[in-house]
Amino acid sequence: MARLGRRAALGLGAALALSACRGRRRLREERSLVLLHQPLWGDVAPFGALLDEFRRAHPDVRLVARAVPSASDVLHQYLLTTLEGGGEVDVFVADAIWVPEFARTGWIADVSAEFPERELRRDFVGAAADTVLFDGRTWALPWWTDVGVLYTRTDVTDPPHTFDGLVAAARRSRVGGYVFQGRQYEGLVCNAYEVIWGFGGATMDGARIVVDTKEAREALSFLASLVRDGVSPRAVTSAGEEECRRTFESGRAALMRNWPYAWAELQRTPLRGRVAMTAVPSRDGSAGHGCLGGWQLAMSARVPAWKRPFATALMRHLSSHAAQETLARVYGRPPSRRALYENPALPTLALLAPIIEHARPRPVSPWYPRVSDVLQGELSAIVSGIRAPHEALSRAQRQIDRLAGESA
Amino acid sequence: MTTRRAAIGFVAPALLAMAVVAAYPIVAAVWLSLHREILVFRDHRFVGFANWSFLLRDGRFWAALGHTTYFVLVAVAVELVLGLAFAMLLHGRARGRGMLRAAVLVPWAVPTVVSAKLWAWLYDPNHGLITHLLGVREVNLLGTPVIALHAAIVVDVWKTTPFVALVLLAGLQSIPEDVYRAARVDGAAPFQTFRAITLPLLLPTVAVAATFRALDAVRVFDAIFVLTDGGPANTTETLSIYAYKTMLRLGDFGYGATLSVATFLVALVIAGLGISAQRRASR
Repeated sequence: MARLGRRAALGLGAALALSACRGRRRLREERSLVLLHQPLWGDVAPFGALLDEFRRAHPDVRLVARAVPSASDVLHQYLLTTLEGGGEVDVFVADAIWVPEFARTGWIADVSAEFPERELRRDFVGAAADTVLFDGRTWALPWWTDVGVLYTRTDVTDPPHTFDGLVAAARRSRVGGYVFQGRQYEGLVCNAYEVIWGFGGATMDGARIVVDTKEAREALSFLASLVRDGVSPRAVTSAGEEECRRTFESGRAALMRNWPYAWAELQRTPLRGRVAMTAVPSRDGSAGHGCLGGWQLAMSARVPAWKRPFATALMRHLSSHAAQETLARVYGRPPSRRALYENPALPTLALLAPIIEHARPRPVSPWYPRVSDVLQGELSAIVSGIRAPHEALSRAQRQIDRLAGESA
Repeated sequence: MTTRRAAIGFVAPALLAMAVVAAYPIVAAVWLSLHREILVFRDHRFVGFANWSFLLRDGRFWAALGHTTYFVLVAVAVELVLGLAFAMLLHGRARGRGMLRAAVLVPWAVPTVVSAKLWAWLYDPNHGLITHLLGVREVNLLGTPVIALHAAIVVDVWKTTPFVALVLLAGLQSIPEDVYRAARVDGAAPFQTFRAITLPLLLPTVAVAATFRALDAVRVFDAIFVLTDGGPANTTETLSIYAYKTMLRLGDFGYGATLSVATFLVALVIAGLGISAQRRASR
């Protein structure tokens, strides 16, 4: 009996200690602000300093910064489970294409009061502002922006401005042709839209996402012909950004479609000074429309009222002029604030400014991830020569219309 | 009566554990497959067999089922043949047998994600060893339909042949030595011995190995996820990859559960076939 009593007392004590711990932890977490962000490659100190500045200015709240996967679809899946499951997150990064989806799902807070549309239109580049506005409300704050660009080996050829020029330059080249991202993934959709826009194709017809158009059929026949006729190596049908960059860096391609991050990387190779970064080509030679990417700072809809000012302040701080300058200078991330493109200390941005002004977003729709899943399969079929463009596009359009019908 | 009650008492914890870890998830998945549960649409409602009737009309499902079946048949057949060869080799009295047995297990011990990434590099069209050895620079193994699925089969065979070899080795060692001695006395040639003694006596073990491997191969995910992610043009998309994309990338939990249950049913059929094959082999 005595032994039993002691054991019970021990158990009770343990339970009490545990609940006390839990109570303390809950208290601490209530005063904390959780930020999810991707790791920024390179020196971690400047970004750490940015976070420390916020900590000094807001001693009442404990900022917890957590690194999350940088691959867009992996992160999407992570956020899906975290946000739906009520996981611990206050401010997080969101890809350009997720804002309408997350807004509709009710996972992110409407921040129109803190960041009114007028202010966004005034301070941020047009395409970046478009990304965070949906249904006339503001759902996030643009952080850094991204756009598809064309890289050319200037010791081999001049940068082409038309699709015909691109083909001619690749054929003349003695170091290999044109590499782009043709693997079945989100990057292929970006590449395809750039060619479709270059042929004058549209993305939306009112609220309907259109892909089976005359221009798209021509554009994708052209994209398929690049692989079929050897202008692009067969390797592109399984290539993502990094595969392309390695091919280009090792001197096996004269032309490459990629994002601006590759520019910073190329400056560290022997190709430095022999590469040009220009707008993607078009059919008629006018400045092509690069696909808009980039990341936004969003606030979880579960953020309680007392914490909201802190979350807003964090978003404002990380997306400030000074912070974006650090991101551009140290990490090569193109800013979303207009003013930075006029900064003479950042010469690369002068190259990017006109390209970003012409950038176009992928279809803005809450169903975009589902639409993209359909497109990835059909576009991959076109690039790898399994299906003719008109057939693949009509299949894609049927599936997309079915998705839209479901949503109605 | 007392022994019976005691028996129930002893079995109960195991039954409870089975109910919690096996039965409950299966029932929950079946229940979920009768719902329309799409996060983006904020849609949760009971739809009966709507997901199932869509499944029957879904070309992508049938294609995935085809890829999975082909993958299982080819991969398991090759693994059995190679595994048997390795098992015979390890069973023999060669010098350094212990070392060899350990070495054979290496591919099995490496996590699939790591080995698949390794193979992705070997298949790389520009820098890959395999493309280099084949002397075909303009062939992109992972980017070409039909070939890509076989490239994934090669990875699976490389990884799991050691497992098959080990199971078969155990089977070989359980064949009594005196049967072989009798065969030697009768003057049987080595191949005759193999045909008439080894193979028939090993058949039950082969059936076990084949069942285990087929059940494992039917839900193949990691190797393909790393190598191709289902591409090009969904030609390497298996049931698990399709279910994963539907559920976790698109947030369609109802239809994703339907695909998972369908995969489960396929595995159930294979298990049934495996058990009946085993019974026949041991008779």
